[in-house]
Amino acid sequence: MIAVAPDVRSVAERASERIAPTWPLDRFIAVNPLWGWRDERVPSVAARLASWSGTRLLMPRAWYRAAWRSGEIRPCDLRRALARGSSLRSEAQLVALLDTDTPTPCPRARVVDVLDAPPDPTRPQAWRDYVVQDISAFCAAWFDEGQAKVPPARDDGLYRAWWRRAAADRGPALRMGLDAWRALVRDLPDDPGQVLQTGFDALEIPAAEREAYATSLLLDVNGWAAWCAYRRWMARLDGRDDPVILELLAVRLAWEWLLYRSAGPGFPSRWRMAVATWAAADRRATREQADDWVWQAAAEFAYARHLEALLATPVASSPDAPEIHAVFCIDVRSEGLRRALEVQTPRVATLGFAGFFGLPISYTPVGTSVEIPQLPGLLVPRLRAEAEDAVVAVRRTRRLDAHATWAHLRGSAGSGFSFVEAFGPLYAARLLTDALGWTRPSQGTDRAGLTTAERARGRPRLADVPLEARQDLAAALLRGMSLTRGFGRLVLLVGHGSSSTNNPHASGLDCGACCGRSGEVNARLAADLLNDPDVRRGLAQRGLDVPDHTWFLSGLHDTTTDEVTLFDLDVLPLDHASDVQALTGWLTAASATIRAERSARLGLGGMSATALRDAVRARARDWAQVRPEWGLANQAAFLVAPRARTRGLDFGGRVFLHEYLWTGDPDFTTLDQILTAPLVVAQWINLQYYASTVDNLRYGSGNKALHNVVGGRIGVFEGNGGDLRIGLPLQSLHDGERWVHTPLRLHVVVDAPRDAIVRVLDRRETVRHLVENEWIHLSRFADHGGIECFQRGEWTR
Amino acid sequence: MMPAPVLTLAWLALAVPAVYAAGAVTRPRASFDPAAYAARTAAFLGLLTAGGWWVTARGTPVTLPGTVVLDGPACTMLVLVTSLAAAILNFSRTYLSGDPGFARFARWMLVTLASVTTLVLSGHLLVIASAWLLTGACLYRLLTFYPDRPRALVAAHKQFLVGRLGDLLIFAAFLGAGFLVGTFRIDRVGAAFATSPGLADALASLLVLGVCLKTAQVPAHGWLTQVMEAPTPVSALLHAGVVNLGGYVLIRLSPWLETAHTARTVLVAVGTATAVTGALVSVTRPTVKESLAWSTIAQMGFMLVECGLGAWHLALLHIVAHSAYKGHAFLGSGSAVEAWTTRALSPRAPGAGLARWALASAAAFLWVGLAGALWGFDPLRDPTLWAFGTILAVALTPLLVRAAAGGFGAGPALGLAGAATLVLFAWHDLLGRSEPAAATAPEPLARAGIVAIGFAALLVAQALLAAQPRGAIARALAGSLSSGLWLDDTFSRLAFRVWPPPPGAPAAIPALRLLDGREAP
Repeated sequence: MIAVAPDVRSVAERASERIAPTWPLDRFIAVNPLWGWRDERVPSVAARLASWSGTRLLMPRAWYRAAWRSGEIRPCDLRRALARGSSLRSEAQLVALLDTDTPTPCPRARVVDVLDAPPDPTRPQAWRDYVVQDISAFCAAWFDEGQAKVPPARDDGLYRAWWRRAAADRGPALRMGLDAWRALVRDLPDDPGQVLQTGFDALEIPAAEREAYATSLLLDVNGWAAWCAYRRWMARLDGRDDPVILELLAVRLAWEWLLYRSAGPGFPSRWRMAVATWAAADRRATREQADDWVWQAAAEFAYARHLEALLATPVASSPDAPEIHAVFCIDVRSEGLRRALEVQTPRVATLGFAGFFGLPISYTPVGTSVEIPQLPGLLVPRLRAEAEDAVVAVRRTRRLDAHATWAHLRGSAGSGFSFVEAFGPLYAARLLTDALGWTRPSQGTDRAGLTTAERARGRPRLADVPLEARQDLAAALLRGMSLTRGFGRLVLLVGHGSSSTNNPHASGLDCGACCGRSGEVNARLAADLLNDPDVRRGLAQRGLDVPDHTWFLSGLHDTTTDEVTLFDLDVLPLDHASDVQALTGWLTAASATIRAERSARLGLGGMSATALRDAVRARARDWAQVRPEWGLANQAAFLVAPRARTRGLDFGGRVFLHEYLWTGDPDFTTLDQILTAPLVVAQWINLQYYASTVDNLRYGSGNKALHNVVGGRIGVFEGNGGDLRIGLPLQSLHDGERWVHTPLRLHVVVDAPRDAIVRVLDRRETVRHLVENEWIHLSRFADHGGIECFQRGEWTR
Repeated sequence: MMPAPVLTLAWLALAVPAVYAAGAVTRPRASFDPAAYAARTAAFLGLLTAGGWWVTARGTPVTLPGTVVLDGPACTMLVLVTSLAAAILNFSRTYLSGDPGFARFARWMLVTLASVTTLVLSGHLLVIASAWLLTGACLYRLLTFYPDRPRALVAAHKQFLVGRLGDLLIFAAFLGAGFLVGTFRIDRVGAAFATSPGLADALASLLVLGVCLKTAQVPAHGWLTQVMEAPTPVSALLHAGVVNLGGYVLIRLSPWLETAHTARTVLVAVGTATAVTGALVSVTRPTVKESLAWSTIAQMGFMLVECGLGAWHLALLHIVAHSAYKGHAFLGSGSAVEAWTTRALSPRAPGAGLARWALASAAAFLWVGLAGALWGFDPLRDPTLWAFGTILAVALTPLLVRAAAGGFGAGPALGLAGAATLVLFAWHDLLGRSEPAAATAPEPLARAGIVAIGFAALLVAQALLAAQPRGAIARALAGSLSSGLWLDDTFSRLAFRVWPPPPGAPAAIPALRLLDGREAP
């Protein structure tokens, strides 16, 4: 624990709470990188970030200009944005603004910046870059989770380890010409608390500016700060705390202090002058962006116009008594498949629900002892699931051990030479088979040590959950998806996962609600649970009558190939075989339809159905493929409504669809749940894509061709150093010619009474913040048709 | 008059660089990617040339018109370079699709390959040196593929300094050899030197220093650890006859180097230092590509050690084996996360104390000694076996430590140790014994001693880091290793004093221009 006075502590804590966590690459779920700012209005957050870190949370003016000229943004959208915003400009002035250059953000100067001005041609690197690179290299080694074979010594804390290394580091002297470095470090306290306590005073930071200054220091190493925030997030889920982010702040502050001291007698006065310009930088940032935000809002209202028009068109009629319910994840990639499936037959009705199917589990794959969370990152696993098969378990353990031995020989310092000479030629064959897609360069959790046949055998089951609890889970699950009556013969629960290889960000394409894993396990467990006769009895006691002829079936939607696999057909009752057979046919047809729809965006247009299927399958196995699929790119809206409101409408894969029937939710607890959990998940995805698009340098991870995985799974560097990169790679957002994602804040349309929605806002601060501070646009289906928006506490058309 | 098959072979061989060059000047169109076609054609021609040579010449070296020399090393290298290049360019086509600079990238890849294959096929010293120079110049273009990355510019600048200095030394050695012994022909220069071993040694030492600079030996290795500032396929390409060319040229010139004892001792000393440093640093690196790059540095050191010990065939085997392995490892480096999750599935092997390390290494040395004796190796006749035996025992020690921990891992560990021993013994038997050097003059014990001592030190350091990671020695060692022993920093500082890199420091932020009064508010 770091010992500091309460005032300094609260400054440091407030600064660190601004940093949102980043999940590691093996469970790379989407995070809103600005989550720590949700209690402030978006334009003011953007102004602060512009001033404190030089970021710009808007597209360049040329982008809005293109949208305006092409008619995508219409005058009515601009007027609507003007009416809502606080800009005093006229329409003509705003249009004229588009022809001007996008202003470059002009951030506050820190000590490093003052030292870099004017640039010193004798130094091969600016201090600003050197400091980030040095801290980042240190953090990579200290946080390493298993890339290096020599484990890091973490016993005395991040700051002390940094201090000890810095006191022996010849790098600053040799590379930057700072010969006094080691002596300066030794004069510095080796205790992070003391650095925080005295550093701000030593640098003469005014009390009112300390939080801003501390935040800007953390934003300078935003990637690593986000990793610290992740550690803290996980610790807090566990009821503990991990304040390592404060130590990171101490390291960055120590750098400022050391450079300040090293810079010679004239420096303090220069520094004071720089500090005096901070307020001006803040004002400039606010002034420069205010009008651009009107354009951003106009772009969002342009989409809202389309969406509202679409929702006003007549929908296809929903079947009264569907024989098959198919439940998909709310993920936008389900939208197209659902639409395509419903076109096949009126006998199927589809629903949307969070793809972890309400099971807060951690999962232990067969033959291992790891526990992998398979639930949204906001929640803690409360149940354990495992796959059991004694024979497979032993075989797998053996193979994994043999594999580990091989890796041990390959990776040991002194063994590499003999390894290469003895076994290197084998990799020529491997190069060929990997290139042809017959093998993959690596296997991962679900494949390693298992044959295809064995993979199918280890069937997951819930471990040690009492009957009562299982009955409660099942009831909550059905109520959550508003499927409480009218059961047909089959209910298909479809999870989703992606398939790509040699892709560090692969888990980001998997199910976010399953913590960056495929939804297979959750879907199979949920189906199992709901088929259990004991559970069915409990459901009946809870007022949910599931007829005996209803069978729950699980499946997986592969979002890369758009194929659906069905599971556990070996336990399917015989009298359901024909239903499943029909369903399989419809699913295959639906897959082909949606593949064809998506093919243009993948550059595979104009192929026959079979050729296209083979092409996407090959793509999924191609180790050079940096765009296996487009993931959730271009999502823009979140609909909480029954399918009857939307059946037959083509949302173009841009909408999250959550099933909700308010008439079946008398006390609105389900609505409350949807708006506090799935909505937040969707908002995280939305802002991740938004921020990665508008400022890929700070909130995206750059070029995949340069990615260099850090610490085994922590994240990536772009190239050989610089800050840890968070967010999405450029290749997930841009096809080389244009942005595939349009950065728009999420539109949320709810089908529920006004009061019910407002009550949730009153009760739930988080949702209220998102709405009031314009992180999302909230609207609802008005009582007599059309859509009404919630603005400044009022419902307006 | 040359017989027809030989002439055909010459045309086939020369077609390889020509195809790359033709690909480089052809404009790509939407449906046609000249780079991938050129690379595949060249790979096919390379195989055909090597096969044709084997069938017509029955494994004996032939000199063809245009001083093209086809022999074992040349054909091996030709097949290696062209097939690896085909794999890399095929990969790049998808990997870099959408990158606005792809055509430029493909062009420089192809020019690089044209010059590498020219070098591989040529039997003329000046052609070799020139092609090598061109390879370095192309590499500069590839390293600065993203010219807006300041760190890429610094790395490329470093490579430029080191590489051109190396070229200078190599040109000096080759020109000296050509004028003093009267031939630039690679197959004659060795014999021509037979009468003047002193001169041969002096010129070979120049050459060897140049090779050390061009194969990223410490302390001139820095640029290689920063190559990941360029796209992944560039890192893979280094192993298709760019960074390892030095080893190949030495192999081709082995008759010259047979008697050049100073030069070979330098090779062994620099190579051992690089191999040991590189191996230790690579296991402390927390990022996948840095770890691979340091491992390449170490392996290049090992390649030079084998050359220095006169184990030319083994050195060639090593080039092939390492290129395949490392080319694959770089292209597959995006799988690091999957590899991590796989590792996480099996429980970590329990830690072992120093005592177990000592016992395991004793067992390893004993095993290698006994098995070697049974196999029929005699270190008294061939002192290099002391070096190779030590290297193998050092390699097997971690496996025996793992086996001693018991559990499921013991069986595979022992099995793998046995398999590695068997394969390496077989290689030595096939390739190590056919050395002419071993027959004429045995290697001096001193060179083998340098290697054995270096690798023993590596084993000790490794054991300390693994067995007592919290100990004072391990901490100090890990600290220095994680900074690469500041070798690159020191080297860069000295080098940049002579020739500073282009200014890459970004302009001051606008607010400070206000402060300096250079811009009106």
